[in-house]
Amino acid sequence: MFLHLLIYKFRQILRTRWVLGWTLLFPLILATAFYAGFGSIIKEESAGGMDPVPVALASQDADSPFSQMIRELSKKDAGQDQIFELTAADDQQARALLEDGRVTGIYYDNGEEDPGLTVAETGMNQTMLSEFLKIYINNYTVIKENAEAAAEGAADPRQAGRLAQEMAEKTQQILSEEDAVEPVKFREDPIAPDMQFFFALIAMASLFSSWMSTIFMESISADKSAQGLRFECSPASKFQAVAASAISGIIIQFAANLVLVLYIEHVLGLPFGTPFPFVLLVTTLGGGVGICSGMVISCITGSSESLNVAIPLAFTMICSFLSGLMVSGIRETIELHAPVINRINPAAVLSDALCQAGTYGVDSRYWTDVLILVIMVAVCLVLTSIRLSRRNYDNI
Amino acid sequence: MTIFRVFMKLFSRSWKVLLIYLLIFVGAGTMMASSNARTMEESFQDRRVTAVVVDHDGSQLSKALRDYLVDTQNLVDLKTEDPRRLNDYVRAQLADYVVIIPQGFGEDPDKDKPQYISAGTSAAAALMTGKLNTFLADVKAYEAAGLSRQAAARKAVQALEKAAGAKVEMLSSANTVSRGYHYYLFNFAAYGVLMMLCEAIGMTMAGLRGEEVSRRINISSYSFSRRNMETVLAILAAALLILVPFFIVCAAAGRGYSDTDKLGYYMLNLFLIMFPGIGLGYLISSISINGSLVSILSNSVVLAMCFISGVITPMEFLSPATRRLASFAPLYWFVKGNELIDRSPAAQILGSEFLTSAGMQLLFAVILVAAGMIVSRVRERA
Repeated sequence: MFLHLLIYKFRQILRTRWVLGWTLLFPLILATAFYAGFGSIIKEESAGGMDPVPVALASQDADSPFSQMIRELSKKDAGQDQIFELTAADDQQARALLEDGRVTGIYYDNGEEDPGLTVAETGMNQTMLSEFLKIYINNYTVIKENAEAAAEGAADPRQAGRLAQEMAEKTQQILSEEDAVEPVKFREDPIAPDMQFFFALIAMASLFSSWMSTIFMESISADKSAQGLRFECSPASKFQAVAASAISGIIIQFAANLVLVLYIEHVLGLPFGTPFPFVLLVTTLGGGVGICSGMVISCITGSSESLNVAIPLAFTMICSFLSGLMVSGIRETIELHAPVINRINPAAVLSDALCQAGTYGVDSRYWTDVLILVIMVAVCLVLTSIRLSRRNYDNI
Repeated sequence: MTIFRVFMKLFSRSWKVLLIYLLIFVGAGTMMASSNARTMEESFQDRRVTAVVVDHDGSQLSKALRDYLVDTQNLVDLKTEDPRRLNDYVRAQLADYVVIIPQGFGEDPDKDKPQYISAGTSAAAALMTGKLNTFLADVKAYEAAGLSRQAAARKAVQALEKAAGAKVEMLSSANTVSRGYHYYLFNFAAYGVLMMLCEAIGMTMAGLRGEEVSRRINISSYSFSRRNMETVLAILAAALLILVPFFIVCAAAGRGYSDTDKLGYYMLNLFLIMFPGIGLGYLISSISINGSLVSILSNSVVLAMCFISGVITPMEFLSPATRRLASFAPLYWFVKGNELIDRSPAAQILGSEFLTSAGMQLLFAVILVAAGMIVSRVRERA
């Protein structure tokens, strides 16, 4: 009997074309749109490195220390990052470049006063240009003060000059060291932060399988359809019917998620940074949560057709929005202020599992998320069983 | 006005779905607008990095470092000292940079170096790392000249304060990209309006085309022109009912922002995108009368359009190929109109460029309605 029910549940879904389109095509379309929107940004983030900032140098003395520093920072060397992309120009040319947006700022160095900077707007790149200017002025101040302090104790001008020179060189060497801080290392090649949009998309696609459940429940609930009425009058086991529906729905959603994951990773070329079986495990559980939550919703909504559409939609869109589908960082903001919401939001749990595995590897955080998803599936099944087992009708 | 009443009755059944989209807009749209909006400054100001300092040391040197960062950056408390959690927050842009000062830093800064967490190599990360290296190098340099650590830290701060007076000027006539609050808010409003129009108009027209309703209409005494006139009036009335809450929310949410004087133009542009939205809903209802399929098609088309047209990802980050593709979508021309309104003074908005954007949106509306009519006719004959 169970096998019979399972086969016919499969056939029921495979013949409902709009569900297949929804389950299979919509996530692929959206993934393609995401890729068109910010796929290049993700690939740049993954490649690492910062683009050099285009800057112009209007200098009256090409050999001044400041001009030399700017040229040094503009070199493409294997041993150091190229900070600037330098264009030497006179004042008028440089201003024209700045107005057109072809350079971010213009350094001015007339050799006598402190160098200056002209920018077009306030921004992070402009602030970085300003910072390098300040570093130069700071270094000049420190070297000068130290040299003057060293020369103070000298017996004669010659000794003063020698002491000042030595202190200046020593200070310059100290100031040129750039290893006062070091980065915290987590994992080589973590995934790009913007991959969270694709993870939220997979979560949304998984939760949309709740609509498959509403179709299943329609055919086994007496208050939803004539077929359901006939089923409930028959001696067929309701438990077997619900189990067959859940399993067939999970298998179909598994296949759809498999296609989606393969599409994102191999066709769009955006790696998940996680071994394939672990990705499938999480996405399958996500599909299970979608199917089982749809059953719970269907039990609650009764015969109202509009609620059968509106509540799964609201549930999915709200969970997806709170997991970061449309606004980056919202999941972490919720984690900061109300972490319990992230624990009960299946989309956030699924997205977090994939993010954690891609950033740090498969470890305890990943398995905790997997456990939460398993608990969600179990809770939904229990609620569905309780609700269905106690149902009777005064009239239909 | 029987058909008008029937239409509005069918339309009213979609109120729950419409409410969901309106709430999504109120939540997500206002959040996106306030986090992205920037106003043009007249003089240059250093951007402050949002940073976290975790101090396990508590020495005078670590306090001096922290005080220096408090004065120059935005320090926040993310309520955790777990490096992994902090890394998650940095990747989510809740902070740009985290400094972890280990125990023993005050005794031997060379041995127990501060560690940092940043999201890859960004300008903010380079900026902060540079600041930390400069401060600590200054302290080391002053110590090498014979000062105590405390005195060296004080001198370092003084040197950096002097350097902060560096001459940085702003060029006033530059072609810059800096968008106001209403630009982002109305961009997202277009998503909400299009979704609601496609779903509501689509489902209602699908209901009108249902077998029983359409047969009753066909055998009635209503002339062809009267039927269509009432349907068109009903569609316009429903569309305006959808649009008005967006106007109210946008006007209320955008109070106090500097681009409020252009609110009327933004509303005009949003009114114009209503027409392609109606056309799209009509076309979708011609393809299928199944409510669920209407929903799928609406979501697929509108969300995809949003991502390629500059609503979710700003236009300047899209590749040239994506922008070319997006020019075949009405939402692209809406965003172009919004860009024009944002960058132009209020008195110069209504020019040829705005008329082009408006014209393209209306042209798309005509094309979509015509396509819907063709599809309906083909399906009737089939």
